[in-house]
Amino acid sequence: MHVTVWTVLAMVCMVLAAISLVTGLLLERRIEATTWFTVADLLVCAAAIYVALNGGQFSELLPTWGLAFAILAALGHITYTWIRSTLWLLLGWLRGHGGGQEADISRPSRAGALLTRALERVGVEGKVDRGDVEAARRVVEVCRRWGWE
Amino acid sequence: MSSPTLAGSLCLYVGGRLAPSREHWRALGSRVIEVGAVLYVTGIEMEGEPVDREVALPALRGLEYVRAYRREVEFDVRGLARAVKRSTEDPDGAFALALENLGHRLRGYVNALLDHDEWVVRRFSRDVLEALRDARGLSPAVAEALKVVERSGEDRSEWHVSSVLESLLRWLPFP
Repeated sequence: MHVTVWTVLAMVCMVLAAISLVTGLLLERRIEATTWFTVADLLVCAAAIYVALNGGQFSELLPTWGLAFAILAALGHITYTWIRSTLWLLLGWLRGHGGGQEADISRPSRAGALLTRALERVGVEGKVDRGDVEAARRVVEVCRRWGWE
Repeated sequence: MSSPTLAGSLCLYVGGRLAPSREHWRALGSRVIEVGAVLYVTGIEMEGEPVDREVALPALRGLEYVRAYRREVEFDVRGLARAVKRSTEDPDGAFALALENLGHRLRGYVNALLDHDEWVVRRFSRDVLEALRDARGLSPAVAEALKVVERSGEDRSEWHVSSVLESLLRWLPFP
């Protein structure tokens, strides 16, 4: 195909990657694993196109040191996750309740809170679930009925 | 299960979940959190026995939300969280600690509730709980908190062998 078409495709990949990052941050206020994968995929596509346009091989993107680092990081990450979840299960079990039973009530994300507070200053309001607002409204309604203003 | 502690804990969680939006926090969240704090503290004193961990958990998480989003309330969030934690072991100490950390107005509410007949407070808690239970299908926060809280009555002594086997069997592809 024509070089321009490939260049345009590579740019589309980059733009899509940027859009998924920004919407992930703005709308969900956190970047989930799937978003990271999408972004990584798109960036790899863009990089492959770039390398191909310059007449190289895709494997040139993986210099030896980069590969070694990536493998080490992956190993570290997997070992850490594995040890952590094993300990979590075991400790929970030893204490007499199911491992991780307490984890299914959500905790606030510190980074999300920081971002929300920063965005508030420029007039972007944080998002809450409409159902939660309704539940809170009903509680306030009960209080009002009981004369607690 | 219609104790003030339970109603308070759920209110603290639902209120805390409104912390991300400043607008909703001002209109509803802060008020629900206050109701929750007052009910929870009143409940500690009224029941006089350690609160179940599962009941205290939503309250703690709600306070974590308030802290993370730095929302203003009329009590010391960190202090109250410490009191909630302590309420699972030592209710008397927890009540004293909670009173220290509540603001003047909220402390007045707690005293007023404790001066009322116990059934009035229980009735009020029941109404709050009913309102929240009705919203279970609507609100993810309520559903989540109720799921945790409803575990508090469960007998966990059987967990060690049978539930491990059960959950394993559920995962393994045997018929």
